Amino acid sequence: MKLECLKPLTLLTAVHTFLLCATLVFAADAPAIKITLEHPDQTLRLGDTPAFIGTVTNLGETPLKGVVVYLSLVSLEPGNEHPVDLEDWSAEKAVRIDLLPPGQTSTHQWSMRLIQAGSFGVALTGIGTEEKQPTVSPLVRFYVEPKPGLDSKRVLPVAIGEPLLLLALWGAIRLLGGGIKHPLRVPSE
Amino acid sequence: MNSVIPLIKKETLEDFLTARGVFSLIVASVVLSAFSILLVSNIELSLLDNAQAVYLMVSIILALASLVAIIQGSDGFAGERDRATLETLMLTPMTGQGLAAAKLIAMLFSWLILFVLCIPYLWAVGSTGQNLWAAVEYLSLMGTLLVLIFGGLALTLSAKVKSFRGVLSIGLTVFLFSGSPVLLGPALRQSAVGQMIDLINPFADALNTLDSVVIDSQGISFQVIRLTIMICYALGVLWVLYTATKRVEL
Amino acid sequence: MNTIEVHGVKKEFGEKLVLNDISLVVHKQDIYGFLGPNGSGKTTTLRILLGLLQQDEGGVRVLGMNPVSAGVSLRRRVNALPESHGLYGWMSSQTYLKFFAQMYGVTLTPQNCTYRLQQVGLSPNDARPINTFSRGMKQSLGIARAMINDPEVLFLDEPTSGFDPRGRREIHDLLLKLNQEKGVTIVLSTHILDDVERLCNRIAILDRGKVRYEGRLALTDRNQPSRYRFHIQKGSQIPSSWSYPGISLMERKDSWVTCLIDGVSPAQAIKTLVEGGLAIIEAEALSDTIEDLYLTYTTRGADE
Repeated sequence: MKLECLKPLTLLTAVHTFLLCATLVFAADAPAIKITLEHPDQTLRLGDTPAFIGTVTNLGETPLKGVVVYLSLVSLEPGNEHPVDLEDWSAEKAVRIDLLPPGQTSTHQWSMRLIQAGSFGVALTGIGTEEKQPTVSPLVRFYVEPKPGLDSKRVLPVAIGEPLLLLALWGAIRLLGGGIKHPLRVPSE
Repeated sequence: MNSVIPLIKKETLEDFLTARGVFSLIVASVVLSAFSILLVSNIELSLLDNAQAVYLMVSIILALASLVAIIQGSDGFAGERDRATLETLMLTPMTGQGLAAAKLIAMLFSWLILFVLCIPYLWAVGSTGQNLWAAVEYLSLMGTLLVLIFGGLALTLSAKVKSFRGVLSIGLTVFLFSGSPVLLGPALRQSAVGQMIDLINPFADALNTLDSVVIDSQGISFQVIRLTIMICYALGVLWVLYTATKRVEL
Repeated sequence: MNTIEVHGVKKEFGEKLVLNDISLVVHKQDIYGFLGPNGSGKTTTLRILLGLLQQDEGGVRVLGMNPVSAGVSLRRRVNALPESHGLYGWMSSQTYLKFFAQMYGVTLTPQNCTYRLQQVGLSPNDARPINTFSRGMKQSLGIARAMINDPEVLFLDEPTSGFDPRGRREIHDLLLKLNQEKGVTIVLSTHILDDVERLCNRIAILDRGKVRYEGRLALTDRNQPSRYRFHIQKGSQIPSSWSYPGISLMERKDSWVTCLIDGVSPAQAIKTLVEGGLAIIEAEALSDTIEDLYLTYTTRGADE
């Protein structure tokens, strides 16, 4: 009778043991870094240079050294989704955090010049040297409102008018001014 | 000093009453007009925002100003020699340095005229954008420094090399060497060697300054090193011009 | 103090020796003629006197000043008409004169400008650009410019080229008036012997970078020639050192010597030379035209 009561107990222990081991394994794989990125608190227009504020928090119990954090940008235009090269958008893309003590948060700002209109998504990725995989912030979606570009009604009059004005002015100076008379206009002696 | 002022007046009048000076202004105007029309008519260029358009236009203006300065500087002594008018100028009670100073001031005046001519174009492409007036301010400063550097260099060569064509060839070659690194791709320019070449090249310094001001909206503190380098170049050229024109020979 | 002194000047351009030991003196109020064929060194000499070129050797003084180091100070007191006139074709004659007046710090009133243009035969009302002028008109304007600062010394390189005979005569009269009334010393470089004959009191003949003849032009009295050729006995000696007042040795050969006599009569000259040991057997008076001098000293140089 005792032997038959022991079987469920053994099974339960085995399950508990398994669960404990699994927790330990998963706990060992849980990321030590938490990354957030905030949407700028403003309406975004073409040409603006908003600042995206990102934070990196050390969730672990050991200090993190040499954490590299960088921004990634994608265009989310329907039917034309593609990654965007940040070279013309941002002065600084990657940041290296030399040391992040446990429980501490490091805050950084990424200014980005909005050089195209449309729907975009930006995310912050952090790579710790001890981590097995990078940590990515939630995707921050934003929309850049288009801005009117060059106004042809302003450009064309200047582009056409100025050379003509210059030619006319020069002709007038040659004929009228500078103490120099056109040979045909000299009165006969 | 008394003789310098009439010579400046004569140089300036000569620019506007002969084909030499007005031609360069008309060419500059046509180039800027063509570029402006391209900006509104070409699909790719029309996507540029105002700041980018202003930056490109300012780059063209600086290139034109440098070229005009080289042509005027080359003509300074060598052109007068070719036209047989240098001897009568040298007979006046004026030193070679006085002659050079007058011609350099006249070149700066020509640059002023070109600068005023370009403002309507900048207004047309950049008035709804950012940093237009900063662009205008820095254009005046960069343009003045480049005219002093390239114009002064050409004038120095003109005092020593007997032929206008010879001086012009050398001046244009120097300008091409200055301009060509700017055409290198961004990756090459970001390399250590590329950055060093950019820094010591006055033309690249001017363009990078305007990029920083117009596109990146950066202030004067970001421009100090480049401005210092350009000012050193200008002072160096002026000193060389001063020593080269102590004795001008026919 | 002489107005211009040149001692032992040498100048090379590359390997070409353009001036070879030039020495000459110009006194105050001289009208001094520089003659010589093309390439003889006249223009180079003028440029050295004006400080536009520096000699390689030798000394030069103009109005007591070194033309190179004095530079600006000297150029306030002298002026020149170079061979190329140096005119700005786009200017009018009035604008041109006003410009150079300002360059010299001279106040040029409209009346003064009119007078100066009329002085050289130009119309003060002519507002045409200079590049429409005839060659003679350009030359006239160049002369007007050369006089703009009322110089003490005036250097003229071919001043009458491009003029017709009447124009040349007018320029001669102008230069003589400047010289006699204002005491201007004039140095004249020219091919035109008629100019020299009419204007100059002293000349230097240059040939192949050397002064072949320099001295007074005693041509006022053609009945009294100043050059004589003394034929000497064959085998007799010509004194190696020549020091006879009033008798300058111009040329020597084995059988004759040519002398320039100045201030002594021919008879006296012959007596002096005979007493000095020259065995003269015949005296021949030589024709004294400028042309003769020019041809003598440029076709074959004096014995070294």
